[in-house]
Amino acid sequence: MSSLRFAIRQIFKSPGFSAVVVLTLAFGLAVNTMLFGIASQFMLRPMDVPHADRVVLLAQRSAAMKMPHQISFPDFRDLRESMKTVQGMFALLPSAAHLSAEGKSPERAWFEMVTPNAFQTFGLQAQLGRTLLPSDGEAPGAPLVTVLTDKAWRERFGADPEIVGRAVMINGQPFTVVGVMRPEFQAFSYSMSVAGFVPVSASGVMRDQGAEMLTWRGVSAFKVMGLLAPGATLDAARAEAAVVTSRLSQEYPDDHKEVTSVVMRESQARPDPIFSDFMPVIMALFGAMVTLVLVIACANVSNLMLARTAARRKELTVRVALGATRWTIVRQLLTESLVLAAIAGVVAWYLSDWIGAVFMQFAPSGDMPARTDFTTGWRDHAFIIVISAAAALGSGLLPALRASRVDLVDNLKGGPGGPQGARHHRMRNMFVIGQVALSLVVLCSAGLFARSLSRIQGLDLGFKTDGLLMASFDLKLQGYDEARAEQFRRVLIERVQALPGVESAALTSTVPFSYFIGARNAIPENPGVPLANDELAIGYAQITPEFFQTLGLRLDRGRMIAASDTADTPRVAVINQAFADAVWPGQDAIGRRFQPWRQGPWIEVVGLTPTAKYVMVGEPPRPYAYVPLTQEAAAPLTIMVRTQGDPAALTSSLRAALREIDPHLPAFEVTTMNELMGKSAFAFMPLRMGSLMAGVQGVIALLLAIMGLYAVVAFGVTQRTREIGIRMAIGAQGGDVVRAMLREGMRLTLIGIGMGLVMSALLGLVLSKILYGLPAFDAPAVIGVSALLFGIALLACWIPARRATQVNPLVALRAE
Amino acid sequence: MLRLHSVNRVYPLKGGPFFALRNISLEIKQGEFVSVMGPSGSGKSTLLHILGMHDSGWDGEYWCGEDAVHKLNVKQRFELHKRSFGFVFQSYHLLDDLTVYENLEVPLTYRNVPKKERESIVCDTLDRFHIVGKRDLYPNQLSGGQQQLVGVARALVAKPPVILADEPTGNLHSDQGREIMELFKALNTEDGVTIVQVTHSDANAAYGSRVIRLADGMLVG
Repeated sequence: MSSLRFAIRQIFKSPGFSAVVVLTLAFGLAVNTMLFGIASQFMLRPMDVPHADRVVLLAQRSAAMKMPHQISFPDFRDLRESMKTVQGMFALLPSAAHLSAEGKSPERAWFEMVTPNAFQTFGLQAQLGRTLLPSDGEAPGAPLVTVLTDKAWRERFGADPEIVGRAVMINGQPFTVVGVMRPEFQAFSYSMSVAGFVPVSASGVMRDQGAEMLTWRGVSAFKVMGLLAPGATLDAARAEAAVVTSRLSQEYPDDHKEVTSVVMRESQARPDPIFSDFMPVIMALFGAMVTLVLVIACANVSNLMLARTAARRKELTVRVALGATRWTIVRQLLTESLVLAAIAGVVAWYLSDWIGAVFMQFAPSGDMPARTDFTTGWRDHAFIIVISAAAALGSGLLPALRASRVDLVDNLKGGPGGPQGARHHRMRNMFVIGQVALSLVVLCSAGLFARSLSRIQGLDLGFKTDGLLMASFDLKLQGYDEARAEQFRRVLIERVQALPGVESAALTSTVPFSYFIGARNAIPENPGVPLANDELAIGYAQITPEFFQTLGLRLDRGRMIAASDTADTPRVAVINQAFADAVWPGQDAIGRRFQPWRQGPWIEVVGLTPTAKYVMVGEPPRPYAYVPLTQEAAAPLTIMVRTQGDPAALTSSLRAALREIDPHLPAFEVTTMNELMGKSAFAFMPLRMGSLMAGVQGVIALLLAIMGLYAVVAFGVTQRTREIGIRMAIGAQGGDVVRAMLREGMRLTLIGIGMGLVMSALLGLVLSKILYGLPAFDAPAVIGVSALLFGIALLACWIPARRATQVNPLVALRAE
Repeated sequence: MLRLHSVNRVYPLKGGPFFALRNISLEIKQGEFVSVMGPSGSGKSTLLHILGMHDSGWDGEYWCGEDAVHKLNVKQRFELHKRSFGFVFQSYHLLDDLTVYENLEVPLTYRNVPKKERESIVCDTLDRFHIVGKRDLYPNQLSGGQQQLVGVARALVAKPPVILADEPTGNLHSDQGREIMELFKALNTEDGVTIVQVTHSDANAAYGSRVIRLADGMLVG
């Protein structure tokens, strides 16, 4: 207790020292806390359901998609019937819908279509009414019922206590509300927050060809979850799923090309199983970086503590003379470290909130409602406590052990303690070298992220991203038939093109870098090269004729899609060079034909465009086809508007144009193309976020290393005041003194940079495998960062060295 | 009480070994008040630190009561040191960040004396040394004489049988020095505390019962 009291007094006695230590540690702790918070929310926290530790997710890999993806409904049913190791298996599919109370305008909302047994599997209870029950059915034709989430009930229906039994309109159809879920349950998909749940029997109402989806084995759309049976292991479930999948592959070979099963814990499949292969790698990479920042912070604080304990030598000596054991001294000093780290932990807690808020601005966003009500839990509190304690030990133990080795006789006699001073100095130097080296590593990784981002931003995407405004809408969900939809589209294009400041406007089913990927397995006629299963995976978009002009896409050969291409004329398409090269290499693709799916209509190629980027910035050349919207309807659609000035300025005009035609049609994802690129997980967002995270850590690491260097040189100047006085008394010039003082700091810097370069080269090897367009050793980034570090280090050393020249020899010598 | 036999303290230097103390044999009986005198560099402080077990780099035999110090390990010596000695320094060496009360409390905490008991002992000591009014002051708020008074009180607070004092009046003016020496005398005669002091002053030595003289690390009288 007295140790604690004394520690607190020491902290208040030196507020400057304490503030530097607290802030240094707080920065290191904050970035760790923030990263842990993200990992904890997305990977560690169990679902808020009973038996959360047994929840597993089933997925598949296939020839078409090597990453784990969803499962077809018939496959799900077979897996559910055959597997014993996973109980209560259920399937779900998030779907956008237009939701309204009777007599009100619809709003766009997301529902989860689920097999009704899902609620029983998770043991979920409703706060009003009931949950879905197996009796609500899985086959089309069952009564239309829904269960709302608490959030939708409150926000969209004013928490109406009489809502159970009433009808709400979903996609223009009356669904009877049978219950309202408790607030804590927002979706079966952990990362989502939906408006409600409908049984898969309503899939025909929820999606175009939804009823058919329940019977198509080739459509891998459903997320499948269940509970590990009591006593069953994950390995056993994997083995059983593999056997069943193998059987399905033999029975239905056309729909199971190289299909393998995946069974993983639900927590490892967040936010989607498709990310499960590389999420741990990304987290480990950033984990290593933030750990480095903390190590640098601890080294820096260690250095400060060493200097401070040297200054407290007299006090520690007297304590030992009075009977303090070595452990008592260590305990006293560690208590001080712990108190400082505890304060730093509190500061870091709030700092991490702030850093998190900054990063959230870069988080991907889209039409799908992401869960945002994440709160901190015991894991976060435990983490900050443990890591703060570790930081206290990491920064305080070595100085405490050093300081506890008191040379009683020398110190009591007032001796200089020369050898101990030298030991302290050696350790301080080692810390500084380590800090410089680690700072270089963190800065280099930030530099590599920035270089990769700059390369990606400099890529020719194939279209102009500036001056593009977009808004999406879904006429199918609004109940439009094709004739009304055609009328709507025509009027919309006319009105928007007539808006002041609009150059052109077009409609498309697929927006580049959005989360909706139009994909087809095309069957080309007479391909010039053999194709696996005679198929080619292509991107696919239904467009209006103004699309190419609006996006700024060039035409290399043939013609564009024209207004004369209608439902009554032969089907046509404009394809890209990658499509032509993949199927008809060295041949003229114009006039060739392909089917957009097996047994689909034949489509003639009438034009050829250069290959652009469509789904991901770093993607290899992707075959792509554009077909007229008049010949193949699609929903939802996006109107893309090319503007003369700032596209955001036209947002309200665009919304008004939509409202004028249909005041009840919900519009979504109203944004500019540059905003989309910045926030899309498929475009610049990952690298921007990575650069920002690495950059912030790099700057913190740099600041910490600079503080360390400054402290070493400043301490050296203080220690050598007498020597400087003597040198100046016998004729040394200011420049001589500055050089002598600089020499040590810069020697340490150079050694640190040398070590850091070796470590950075190793890091570069790893990063070059996951960052776009980076060689294994990116000389400009590494040299640039080294030069920056050297320059700033020189400045950090020069300031105290310059001060040394202001030593008055008389005063310095008299002081001795 | 304290007995040295053929004790040497040698520092290995580049030019050859340096004998800080050479073949020292002496005995200090319980209740004695001994003054160690000699010119600068004669080994007075070295002798005091060996007696106080601050220094362990010597050879020879050292008996503290029934305990053969030369045979004890570091931990045992440390325990014996805590039990037997109080130290008074020339430059007081009070802990600047602690109040007078807390400075007196420190040796007791290191001896694991329970808090209640500590309070009682410290209050008694403050009372005995007439410094109750100073209990909440910090060392820099005291005069040199008052600081040394606290230093002596701190040396005594754990009730050691022996006080070792290294030029206890060296930093004090003559009146303050006299007060401290009279305090030592009283402690010696009234409480039976054994006192060993290093001093340059014949006047201070006169307060003691015996003088040990050193020159060049050897006993000369």
